[in-house]
Amino acid sequence: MIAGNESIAVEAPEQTRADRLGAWSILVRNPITVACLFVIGAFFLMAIFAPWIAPRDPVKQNYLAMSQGPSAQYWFGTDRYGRDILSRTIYGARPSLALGVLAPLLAGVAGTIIGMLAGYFGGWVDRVVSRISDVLMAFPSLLLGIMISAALGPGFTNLIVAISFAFLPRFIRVARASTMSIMAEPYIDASVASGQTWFRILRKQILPNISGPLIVVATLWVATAIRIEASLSFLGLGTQPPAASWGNIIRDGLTEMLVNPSAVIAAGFVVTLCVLAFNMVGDAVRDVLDPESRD
Amino acid sequence: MTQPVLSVSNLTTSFLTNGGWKSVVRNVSFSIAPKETLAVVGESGSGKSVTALSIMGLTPPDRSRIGGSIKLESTELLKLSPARMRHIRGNEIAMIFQEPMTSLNPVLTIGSQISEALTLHRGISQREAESETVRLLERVRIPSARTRINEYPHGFSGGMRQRVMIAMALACRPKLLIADEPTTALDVTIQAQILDLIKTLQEEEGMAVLFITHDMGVVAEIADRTVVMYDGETVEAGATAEIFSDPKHAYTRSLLAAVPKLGSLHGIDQPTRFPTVDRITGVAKEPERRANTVNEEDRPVLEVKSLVARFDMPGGFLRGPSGRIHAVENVSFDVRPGETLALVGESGCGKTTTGRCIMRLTTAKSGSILLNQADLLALDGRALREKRKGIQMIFQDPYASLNPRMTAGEAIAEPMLVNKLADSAEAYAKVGELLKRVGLLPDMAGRYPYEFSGGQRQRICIARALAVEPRLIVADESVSALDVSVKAQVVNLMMELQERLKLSYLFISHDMGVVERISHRVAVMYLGEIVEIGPRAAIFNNPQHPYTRKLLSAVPVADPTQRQRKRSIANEEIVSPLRPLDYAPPKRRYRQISPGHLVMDSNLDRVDLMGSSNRGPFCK
Repeated sequence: MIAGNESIAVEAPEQTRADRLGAWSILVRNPITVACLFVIGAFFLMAIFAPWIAPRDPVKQNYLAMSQGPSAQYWFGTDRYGRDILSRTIYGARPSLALGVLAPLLAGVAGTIIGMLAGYFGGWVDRVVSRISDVLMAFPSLLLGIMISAALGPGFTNLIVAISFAFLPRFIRVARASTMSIMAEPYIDASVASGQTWFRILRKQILPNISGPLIVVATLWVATAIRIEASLSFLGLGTQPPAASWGNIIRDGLTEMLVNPSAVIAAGFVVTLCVLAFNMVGDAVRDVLDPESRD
Repeated sequence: MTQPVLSVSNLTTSFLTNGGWKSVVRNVSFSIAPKETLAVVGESGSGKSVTALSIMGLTPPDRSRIGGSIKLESTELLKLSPARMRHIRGNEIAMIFQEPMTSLNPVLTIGSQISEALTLHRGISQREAESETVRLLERVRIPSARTRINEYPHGFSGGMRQRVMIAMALACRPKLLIADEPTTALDVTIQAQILDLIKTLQEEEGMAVLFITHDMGVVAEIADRTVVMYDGETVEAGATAEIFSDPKHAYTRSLLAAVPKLGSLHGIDQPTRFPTVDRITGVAKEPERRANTVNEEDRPVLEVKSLVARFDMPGGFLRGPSGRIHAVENVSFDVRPGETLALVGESGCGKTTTGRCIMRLTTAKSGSILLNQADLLALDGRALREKRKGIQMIFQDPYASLNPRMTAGEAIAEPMLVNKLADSAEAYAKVGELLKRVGLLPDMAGRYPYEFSGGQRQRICIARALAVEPRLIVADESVSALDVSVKAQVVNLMMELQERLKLSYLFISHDMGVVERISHRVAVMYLGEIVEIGPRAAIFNNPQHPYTRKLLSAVPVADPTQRQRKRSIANEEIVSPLRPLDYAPPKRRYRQISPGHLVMDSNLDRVDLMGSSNRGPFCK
């Protein structure tokens, strides 16, 4: 019998940490967050099932029904080419959400890898990575997006590349700093001592511990990505007509805003609602996963 | 009998938690007479600190409830308004805390922090406050107090900061001083100085002291009466001498059995386990004698030869290094199979750096580290990983040395998988075996670290280290952060594993009591060098180097009858190994006292002089 067995009975483990309760169960305790999650869910359903939901073809022009106000036939009215604004708004969710998810995801994956390498190896790797991300950070995301899509030309793929680039330094910074703080933990020394390679240490020891703040950054930037997509499409650099996007619906509606504001109002409203919902959820996720980083 | 300074009766403190009110202290009663020292002793979670906070009225008002009565002389503290209580705090009751490094405001000078307390509580002028501050700093024996009042806390070492905290506490001549683990964060020689200081000041000022600690040695050294707490309740109270000589409660007995007593192994050659006491019945079981695990003929597992590690101190912007820390200087020793070599010394003496150099976690400047005759310093990459698994390390902080996102089983299996010692199924089968071996249950493998207590986590760390079947384990202060009774259990486990697996340990520690129990040989480090090395009995019974003697005499003895006569209050600090860039370490010679017992041939004064100033480590 080992003398130490009594310790199992004697010492009581300390209280369960809050983050172990499960982030999800804390998130859904707040009714506003739940409402926002429903809004986001609805937007995704709308984007996925657009062909079934939309009453009309969003690109089909109808010269018999141009610039109409809301009616029983056209709920949100029609634009100056006679296209149904309701259908265009429903289809417009597709590029916005695709970009809103893909850009932070791409930037997140690439930024995490680069940031972790910089944080782990330090030295010149870190200096080079940090200076490049400083330079990228110096430009506002929107400006960088405009510059890159202007250089590459408009188009959906180029847009994703542009916005991912603009987001990259945010992820690099968070991944690098978190990696460096985890590196100081004795369990990393223990892993080195037990013969683990740097790749395995990064993957198995560091990545699970820094994923919290990275998920927070990703959710917070989804809203920004949607806003930037709308802005670039509005400027004519994003989704190209006739394909619908919330940005170019507003752009098309702008010329006749004073006589027929329904396009601007409808698209403006969904952009605002979508960005707001993602922002609120992003804040809630941050409060749960990474409470220290609160402003 | 005079009126007690403080009388606490039926104190019950509860905190609001998720599940409602939870009482942390229940029905605690004691009183302190003027000029008396009462120790409240217990392990973590016993409610001793909450008792102190309740007396000070420092528990969060909206989430705590205090019942019973706390009387300061004849004033009932629990009924006072917050404003009156604020007046009592500082004026009548003062408190010093455990962490001297964070208890002072870093952006204010020492002088202004003390004189603020004076002008606030005693209503004296700025000018008077200043001269009073100097007087107070002199009382706590801070050298050249007049010039040091203009310095900031970062220039003060831990011991000196604790002196400043005591000076602040004394500023208003309190009737009662509450000291909450005031020496726990300090080195043992500094601890001895601070304890002496508190004792002397208590006599000079005539105040009562409530001393909160987990260390029975400190209790024996300082307390007139003792209250033993366990799980929020008083289990035993009485005169300190009585509690030590005739403990009534089973818990007190088990606590005392776990306290390392220096000199208790006199005449025993082999390391010896701590006696175990049943918590319920209080029956003590003396440890059996241990078989010899060391064969003198064997080739050493580990040979360290002339190891040197130095770190440059960065200078200012665009300037070269301003100085160099000689962390490890020409250190040589070896460890035989089945042997425990203890590396002892105080903070900054280079013992941890030595351990990290051996693990190749820190880069050594020169020297060689032979593990089974292969030089680790000459290896790299795959070859290094292959050889290094022969040594494993256990760290100090059991909370930080396990990855919070990995279950105990994953943490233990990982080294086996990485080194391809087993495939996944075999590894997980072995995890259960290893958990059993360190005194845990195999079905605990699926739990995460936060579900374990400190002692259990340290057992998991030991299991993880054992997973790759190392020959040598470097234990860097591995039991220092644990409660006394848990510490004894983990030390016993380490010794048992040594017998069974013929492990060698490099046991890095500042705790001489534990070192006496566990080690075969001891090396004493001071300022990066080994000043004395030899068999345990030789070092403890016949210490030759002045530093070894100082270290041993500073250890508090857990026996109130042997309470040391008051020494003259020393105020020297631990010297820093920071040297100028052109510093060339002197050639050292060692003198042999008896077989295997070597002592550095130089005197401590000379070493001290070269270590220079009496200030914090980074002051120029």
